[in-house]
Amino acid sequence: MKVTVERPSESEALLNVELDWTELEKASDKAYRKLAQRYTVPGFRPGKAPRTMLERMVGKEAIYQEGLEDLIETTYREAVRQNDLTPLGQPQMDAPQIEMGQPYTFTARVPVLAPVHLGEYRAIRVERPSTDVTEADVDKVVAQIRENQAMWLPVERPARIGDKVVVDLKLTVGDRTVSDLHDNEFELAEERAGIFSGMDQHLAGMSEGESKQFTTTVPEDYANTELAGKEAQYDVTLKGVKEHQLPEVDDELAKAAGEFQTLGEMREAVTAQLRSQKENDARRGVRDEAVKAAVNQSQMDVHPVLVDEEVHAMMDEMNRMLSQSRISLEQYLTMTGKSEEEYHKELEPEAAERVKRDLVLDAIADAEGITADDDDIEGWLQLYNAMGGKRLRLRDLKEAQRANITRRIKRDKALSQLVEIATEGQAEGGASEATVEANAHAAASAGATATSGNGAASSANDEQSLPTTQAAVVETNAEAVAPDEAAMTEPRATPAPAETDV
Amino acid sequence: MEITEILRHGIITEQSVDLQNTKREGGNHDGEIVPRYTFRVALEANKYEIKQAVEAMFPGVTVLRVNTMRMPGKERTLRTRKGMFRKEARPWKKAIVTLAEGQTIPELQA
Repeated sequence: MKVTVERPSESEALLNVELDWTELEKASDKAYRKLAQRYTVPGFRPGKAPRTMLERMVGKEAIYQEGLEDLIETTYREAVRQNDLTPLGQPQMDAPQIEMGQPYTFTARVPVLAPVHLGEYRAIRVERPSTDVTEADVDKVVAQIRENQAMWLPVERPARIGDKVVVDLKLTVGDRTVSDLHDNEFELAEERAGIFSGMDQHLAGMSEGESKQFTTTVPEDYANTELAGKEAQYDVTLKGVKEHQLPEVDDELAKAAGEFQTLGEMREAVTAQLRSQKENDARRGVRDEAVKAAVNQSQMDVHPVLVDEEVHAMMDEMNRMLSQSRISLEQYLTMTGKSEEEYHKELEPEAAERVKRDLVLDAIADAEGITADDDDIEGWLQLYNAMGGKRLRLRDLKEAQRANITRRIKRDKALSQLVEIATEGQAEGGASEATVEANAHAAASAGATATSGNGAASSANDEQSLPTTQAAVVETNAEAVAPDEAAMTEPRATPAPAETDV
Repeated sequence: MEITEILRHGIITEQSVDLQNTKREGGNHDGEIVPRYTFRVALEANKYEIKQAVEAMFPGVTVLRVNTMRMPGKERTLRTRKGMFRKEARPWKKAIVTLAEGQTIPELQA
């Protein structure tokens, strides 16, 4: 066997394998024994038919062909191993017809894992954003709480912008009635887009019981071209005005907002929550920034196969998330009016980012000599089990699962290391170091999920930024701890050596 | 009798192939292959006729010895739509022909 390797690009290898006739003979002999088991020649027990008899039955070429297929597979594997390549997918084979007595040559084009040329990642410095909570921050949240606790109360005065009004409204453009509303309640706003633009200014100043006719001009860029730019006639009767009354900032508000007794207590809780939120954000921000810098520094050739795989992994993830709300991916796609191809295309940029991220982290893990031992895996599994996933024990893990988890742990460790390097000399926040440390590991372990992972998780975090109860904080952390479920289901092929079936 | 009537067809089975390849043991000719081929022959053919027929059918071979045996007709069960029938398969004669050393019959070689 003679192998020559060409590299059309860093992420692709062209293997040219030449085989001697004797190798083919040997392979065909093996194939004969295999085929003899499969065919029963009359007069012979299975597997006992002489080669000549089998040749008469299935043809000489068939035996050689069979042998050749096996030989190609084994030699391909061997060639890949010898040249230290990591295939990312199935090779494209160019295998010509066999010629009796002649040496045989085949070529295989296969996407391979390209080496990542790391930049000076050790030189990356990321500023840790301040996690101090200022009075102003707290005031903002308190104002928000006030806003949430506010009530709309009817008042006896002319309407103002910001009030809520109840109106009967008839809108006509030319001789066409566009809307005819009764007892419609809405808030008067300074700016209003669309067909009703300009209306609010006319309504302001009206008192309860008053009727008014006026005209406005529909904006030129209105979606319905028939109406755009036309005069719109209004016939409005105001039936009520409601004012937004904010509650006083006092202990009563604190009681209404949650399980607080005094205003001070609430402010304290808000402060604590804001701090932990800021810390989370800071941690995430630093992590993202460090990784981004490392990725930008690095040079690598990412094969489309990897991106494609990642896209599919993301789709699976999406599917899993959707299935929790009992929606299938197909339904989701119809709902959002996207075809699967479009969705695929849409995910590609992020998938490419993720692939690069993972590759860079793998490279850093190698460069830093990071390893993952059984204890690490055990810890990871505990986290995973705590998540309520399928219970898994170390000794039950399949080889592929194990490799997959190991890779994840190594990536997480590389990430932590990277962050550590990038923020050297900077203390982590002002908050209680212990909890931060405790979270750091969990968060790091789930880093992939939390940062690049499901958008839902992070947006959920954002919503919880309105602190009504402290439970929100706990939940936020729980989210971050979540190890990626995808790790357990299917070993993702990302940089794992792909199956090399030919 | 015609040759084709005497030699009905050659028999290639595991057993007959073994006979083709069996080596002599001991004596002056130790290790030599004794080429033996198996035929189904007419029931009424005798050893001499078989020898003549084989030599005529495969020019260039010399028959040293012919061993014959009568194979019993066996009772067979025939399952048809009209029911089960018992039927006797015909008895037949098998001949094992030993050729001179080094000779082969390519048509029957396996």
